[in-house]
Amino acid sequence: MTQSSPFGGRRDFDLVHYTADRPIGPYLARDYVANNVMHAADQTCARVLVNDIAADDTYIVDNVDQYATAYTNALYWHVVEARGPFNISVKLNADGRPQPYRLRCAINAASGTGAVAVSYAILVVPGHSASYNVQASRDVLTGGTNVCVFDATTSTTPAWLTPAANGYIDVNMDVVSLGERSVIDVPGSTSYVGLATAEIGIFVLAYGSAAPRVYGLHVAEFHV
Amino acid sequence: MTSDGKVQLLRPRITTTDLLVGAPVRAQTWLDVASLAHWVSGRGQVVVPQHRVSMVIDNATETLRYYVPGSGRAMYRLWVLDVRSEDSTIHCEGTIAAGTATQSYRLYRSDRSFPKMLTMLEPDITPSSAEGEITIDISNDTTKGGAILRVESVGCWELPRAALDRTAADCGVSLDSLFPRRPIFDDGITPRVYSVSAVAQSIHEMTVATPLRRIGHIGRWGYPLVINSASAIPLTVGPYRIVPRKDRVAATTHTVRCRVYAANPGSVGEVRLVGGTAGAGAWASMAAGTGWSDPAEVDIDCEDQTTDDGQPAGGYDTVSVEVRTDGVSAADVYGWCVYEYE
Repeated sequence: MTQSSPFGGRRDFDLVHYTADRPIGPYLARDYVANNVMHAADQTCARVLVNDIAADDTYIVDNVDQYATAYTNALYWHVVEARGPFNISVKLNADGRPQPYRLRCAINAASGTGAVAVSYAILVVPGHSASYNVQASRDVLTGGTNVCVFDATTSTTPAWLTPAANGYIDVNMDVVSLGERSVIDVPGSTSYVGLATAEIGIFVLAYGSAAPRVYGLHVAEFHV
Repeated sequence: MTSDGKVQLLRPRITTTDLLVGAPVRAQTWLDVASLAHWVSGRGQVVVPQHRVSMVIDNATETLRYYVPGSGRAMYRLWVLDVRSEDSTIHCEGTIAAGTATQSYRLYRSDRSFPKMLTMLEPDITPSSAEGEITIDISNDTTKGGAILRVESVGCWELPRAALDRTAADCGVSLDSLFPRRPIFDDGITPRVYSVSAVAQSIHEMTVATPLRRIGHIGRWGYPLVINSASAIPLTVGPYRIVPRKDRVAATTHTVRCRVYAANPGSVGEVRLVGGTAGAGAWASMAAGTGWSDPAEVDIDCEDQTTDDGQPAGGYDTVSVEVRTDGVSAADVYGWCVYEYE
């Protein structure tokens, strides 16, 4: 179940119930007001962070690759490219335990050389992480919970790859970096807005001389 | 500033099991409901999901354009960019401008395994949910010996609000008025500010009268695709994956809308969306000359909240953007955006 609201959808309600001298019982409060705002939090606030598929360069005059490539013959995990930082949704239970949102992850990729297997992984790390490459590479290598690995491909035709396990990553406090940014908000004076940021890395492992190619990515939040 | 309109960093939680038949609704519950409403309303949306740009900029300025609605609350947008120097031994420098703000950048090396992630804060946004164009200018200066800049990807999201104003537009309510032992009253003089009726009014506004959207689903800007065919031409090597939000209880689909930016000198270009489940939508006209097209729409399978990962029955839906002309006059398509319609 990916819904927290009682009905899993918004319901129309009439404001006449909330005017003067009308009692407000648990029925109205739960089935309409609470339901609607919980559904909005579940669905509206689960956002698409990355969505991409390469433009067809058959029709592009300028000769610039529309896909991401990596070094060839690199027998270790390394980052192809990165996305973010993003402000990530996190929810806490009443007792302080994190109740995760998840990041739905998909990758559209190919092997640059037929018959040479290439593996891909999507990784989430705290925003502005100074140890991005070292720690992130270790997380991918050891199969951390902040990693989504996909089945290796030998095809040179771009396709959405099958995740090796779940096609999502749990977002908890370990993969976000808490910070603040000063803004001019309602009263017209400086105030501070809290951010929980994370970055996304796309990693590749080629089992031979190949030029891995990333054609598309899809990373989106969803409520658990 | 007042703490009354505060938007929390982490999503507040409502305990619906406290709402029992025959029992009064506790003040704590109303406070939780209002706090969650503030979080929803002030959180901000991703207006342009990050996407590959693949443009190289010599001593020049490129303007990247997107056509999207806003959440109606945001006062800042944050642009995120992945950029590299094209030469591994030469630095790269220039400026990035969005709205009223300009900032400089300087890159020192171009190891391709080490992305350079830049952020650019665009202030002074007038909160609006209307559809319109937003832009970012990326300039590269090679006159001081710098290298060509390669723009790998760009995205844009709205910064959350620190606090909401207690107005109809912001949907903020007085949190202080909901504390336990405060009087419950109908705020007839200044609607939408105090007590329980204000909570109901603001939630009515954001979920019934003008429902908030999961806005950005697809954004693309880059080198133009030159289309000169009377047959429908998909603009990408494959369809996009897309999962719109579920709206009403019985909803299984949601309408998404697309606009395309193109040079269309012959005024013959048309665009349509093709859904993986729904098939092709109706053709919409491109702007005469250069500009954004009329909206093209199609219904897409929405998120299924009864599954562990939200995947709809039959798998995730897809969408493709297709263009055609009369086969005589070409259209140069620079970018397109797909977002939820209402």
